[in-house]
Amino acid sequence: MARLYRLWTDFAPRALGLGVILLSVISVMAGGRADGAGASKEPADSPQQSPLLRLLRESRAPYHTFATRFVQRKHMAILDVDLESEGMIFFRRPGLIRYEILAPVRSLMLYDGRRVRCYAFSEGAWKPLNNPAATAIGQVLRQIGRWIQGDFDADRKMFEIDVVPAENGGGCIRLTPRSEALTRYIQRVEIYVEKTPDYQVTRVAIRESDVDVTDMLFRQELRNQPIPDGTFSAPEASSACQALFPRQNPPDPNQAEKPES
Amino acid sequence: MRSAIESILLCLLAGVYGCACPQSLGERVDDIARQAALLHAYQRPDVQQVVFQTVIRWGERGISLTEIVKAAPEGGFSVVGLSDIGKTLYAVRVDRDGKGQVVSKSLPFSNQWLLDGPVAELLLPWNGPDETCPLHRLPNGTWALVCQAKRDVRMFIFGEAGQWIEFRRFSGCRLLSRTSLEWDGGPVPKVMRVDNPGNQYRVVRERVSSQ
Repeated sequence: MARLYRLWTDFAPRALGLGVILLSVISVMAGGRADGAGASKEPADSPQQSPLLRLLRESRAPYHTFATRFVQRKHMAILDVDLESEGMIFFRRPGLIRYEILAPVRSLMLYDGRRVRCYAFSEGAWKPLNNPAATAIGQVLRQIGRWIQGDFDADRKMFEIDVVPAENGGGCIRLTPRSEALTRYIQRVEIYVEKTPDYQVTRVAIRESDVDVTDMLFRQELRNQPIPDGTFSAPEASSACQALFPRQNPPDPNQAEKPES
Repeated sequence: MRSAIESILLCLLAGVYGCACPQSLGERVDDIARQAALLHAYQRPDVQQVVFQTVIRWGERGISLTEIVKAAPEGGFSVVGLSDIGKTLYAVRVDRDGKGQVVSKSLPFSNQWLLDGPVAELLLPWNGPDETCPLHRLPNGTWALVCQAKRDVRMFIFGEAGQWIEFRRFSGCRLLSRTSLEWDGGPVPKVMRVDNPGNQYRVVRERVSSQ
């Protein structure tokens, strides 16, 4: 028992690798679409000079809340299949986050700006989980809060950030872990931004290895919409949160074709 | 005192199985028809892929993950565990002879711990009893097929309706793990609840899909 506890406690910092995936979620809230194929061949901008990062931040500034649904596709070479899951993310300034997976397996993370609470929907009910990686996840969620607001500056210690502009006004923000230890878990995160007409992130590709890629596609972004009570504190708010999104979705450009991995 | 020492020595000489914990394993019964009926009741799942929602708890801590079992065309399995946000926690290949190989792992546990514990428990529905397992009658009147596997004893317990409802794994007298199985007519259990006192964790696996 003690050994198990110790191992998991030691493991918590490694959860930063897992958190990097969450980082990408950030982009969720940015919404929009950037076509990876449309990225120009120009040399990557340095982040300090990149107009895209500035425009993204400015376009997010007027909004106090964001909500979006997402589809996550994960290609795993060992299974030779694409695994797909669906979820939704809610954000309220300055840093409240609800990150919920709806299918095929329901789970939830709530961040109140100070700590993370994790839940699993098991045997017909939400069950709280004292996740040993919660502290690390909380740190990452805090970063996510910044990113949702288009602020990438605070995370340069962990990532090398470069921007590849696209001809359509969007582009790709590429995050490469600076630490070799982190690179063992995540090789790179690519955040695709599109101008539609605001700057939004519509796709995040997380490359764990050369062959294992997770793609997150964001859709139905809602900005400054009233957020249901309990969104950031109660698992039971799930139904109300889902109801916020229109049932009859217009054709989603993100769903038109499977993104290249 | 001398008698106790003699008992221990006798057990060691006779082997732990069948000696140390007769009350746990029940009484061996030669009933070929019943044994055949129980073996017939166990059907190895004939599915290509199964997805489980899994919650692992130890002490007051816990994590949830998605586990996927995919049958390999040449026999054996690929098994993967993913975190809630898609991070690969482990990826394992198990060949047709049951030998496991960890392909990748971002968990702070040894490969052997992973293979002998969570992965073996996940693949339990595919590793049921066979005709080499003798029939035992347990003190509560239920029937079990008890198999010797290396140094471990594997006990498959069947309910009154003849359905496989529980699995226990012993090392000598020590209970390593106990799994209860809940069925709903599907090829794999709807729910598997594992209590692993050896490693002091509990697991609830709920089948999400099978195809």
